[in-house]
Amino acid sequence: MGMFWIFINGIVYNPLLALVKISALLFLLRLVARGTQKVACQALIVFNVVQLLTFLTIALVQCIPIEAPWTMSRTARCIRRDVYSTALAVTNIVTDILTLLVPYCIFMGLKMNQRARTALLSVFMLGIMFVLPAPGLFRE
Amino acid sequence: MELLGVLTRDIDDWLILVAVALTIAQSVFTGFGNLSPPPSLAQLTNPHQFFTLGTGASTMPTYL
Repeated sequence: MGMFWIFINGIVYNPLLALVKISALLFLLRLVARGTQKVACQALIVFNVVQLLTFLTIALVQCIPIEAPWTMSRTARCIRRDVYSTALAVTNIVTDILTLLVPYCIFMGLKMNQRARTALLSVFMLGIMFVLPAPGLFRE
Repeated sequence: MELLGVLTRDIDDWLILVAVALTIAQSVFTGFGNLSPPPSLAQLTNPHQFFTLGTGASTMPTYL
């Protein structure tokens, strides 16, 4: 039964990462009026939605039959977990970095005093504390 | 159409609420996974065995 909950955990975990980024990007989309930034935001939202649906589908049908991850059937046909994990980690790290760059570009382009800009950037760039160690943690 | 407008206006708030709910659900599922089968005291106190909680590794060593 433990493996069943680990399987469910994998299904829930991937969409929530994308949902957080989509939510942040939708919020930033309301702030930007300029063309390029707006298109970049929209493109990232679309990419995140595609990523969410792709990895959710793969997580659901990672084995044929579907119940193989928790029944531990030896005859089941499964995807290579290492390839799946690597693809998921790489796309997540890339989208994390791109999502972080959006507020940076927006606030650098605004006319405001340096102190207010630094304060705003430091709040919106807090996520970098999560992104920077990610490649190192993944390698381990 | 007006209702759709109201719902989509705050869609980023709704999405983050869903993400928070999923995070809480994920924590609960992780707990279920790690406690099924119930761990022995040896598993909880031994760092090498601790990370096999919920994987059934103690009962199916050949599979893993």
